[in-house]
Amino acid sequence: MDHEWLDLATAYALSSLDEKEVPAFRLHLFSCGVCRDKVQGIRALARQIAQPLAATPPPAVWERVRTAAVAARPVTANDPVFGQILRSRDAHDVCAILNRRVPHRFTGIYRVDPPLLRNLRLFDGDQPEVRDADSTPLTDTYCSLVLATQEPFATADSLRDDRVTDHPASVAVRSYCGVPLRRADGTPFGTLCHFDLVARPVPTSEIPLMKRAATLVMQSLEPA
Amino acid sequence: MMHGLALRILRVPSDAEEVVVDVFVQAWTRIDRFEERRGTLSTWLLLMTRTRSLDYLRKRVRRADLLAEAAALSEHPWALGPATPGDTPAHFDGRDALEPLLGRLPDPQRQVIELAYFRGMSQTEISMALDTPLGTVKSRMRSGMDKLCTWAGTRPESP
Repeated sequence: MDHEWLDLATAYALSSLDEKEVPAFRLHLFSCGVCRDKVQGIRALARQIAQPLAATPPPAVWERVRTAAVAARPVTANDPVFGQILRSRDAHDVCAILNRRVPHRFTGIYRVDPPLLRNLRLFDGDQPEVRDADSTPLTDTYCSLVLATQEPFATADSLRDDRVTDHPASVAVRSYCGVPLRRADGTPFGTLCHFDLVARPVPTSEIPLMKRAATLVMQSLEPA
Repeated sequence: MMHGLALRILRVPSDAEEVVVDVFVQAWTRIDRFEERRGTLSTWLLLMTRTRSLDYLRKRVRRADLLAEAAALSEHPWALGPATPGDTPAHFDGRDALEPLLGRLPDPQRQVIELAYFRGMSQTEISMALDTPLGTVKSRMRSGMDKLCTWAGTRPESP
């Protein structure tokens, strides 16, 4: 075997081959079993090279892996793993998990307390350390629409949505998607919602998941 | 091992943690791409960890800084240690960390392999950084990797 091909195979396996040489070498790989074995053999060394470097990451990393994995995994509203994870987390973490699934900056849990809407938990994607926000006059919020109908309400862009162009919230909150929170006896409690200060597409496919999360959040906020 | 490898490449614990999270999530969502016949799950995860770490490194560190760092290796063969020794386990310092495998290689071979493996540098970049002819870099890399493969039992000595 020509040493030049073996040099290239070594560099290719280490991702160190100069870019201009990669296409020709890939072509060569199709027809050369020796080079394929060599590349495979070098790549298999990954474990031996990394073995002496073993280091245990902080426990918080595993929590982040678990949270991120749940957020990234395609789940249905009835997914038992999703329910299990949400039940094991506090309300702020639930907001964070749900928020990672949508493009909106904020996800919040609100309780209606006329004439106010009180924020219980808020996740701000730009400032994850934020945990809650001030109360707001109920009539100034899209949550009032969810509470009035007890149905989900969503707008992708309040300035282009005839239903809310005159709504007090329309200038500040451009996009919104909320579902109702209800007590065990069915009476209205508040809302679970995503929102942003800029236009965002309505996360229609997330609504069933938000409804499921709303039930779990209520079990956590008001245990039977 | 994933965390250790990412830490070795990035040398900043928070960045290494970021990579570990990313790789696990990537594996979780793309497990259908794992082919058992091409290697073990741990090897697959480590290859992804290395690739992701190098992507991260390229975004964070200017190419010129990498080349300058590599050039410093000519005078300080173990310059690829952690950025802040206090941030990482003691065993990441110096030759002992890699003694079982890479540390057994002669310094010239180990240097080119480390620059490729832990810094993602091409052979031409290594040649420029170490002021060494490209052909020499290639032969050192191949000879060194052949020894590692033999020691690790993954393939016979090169023909």
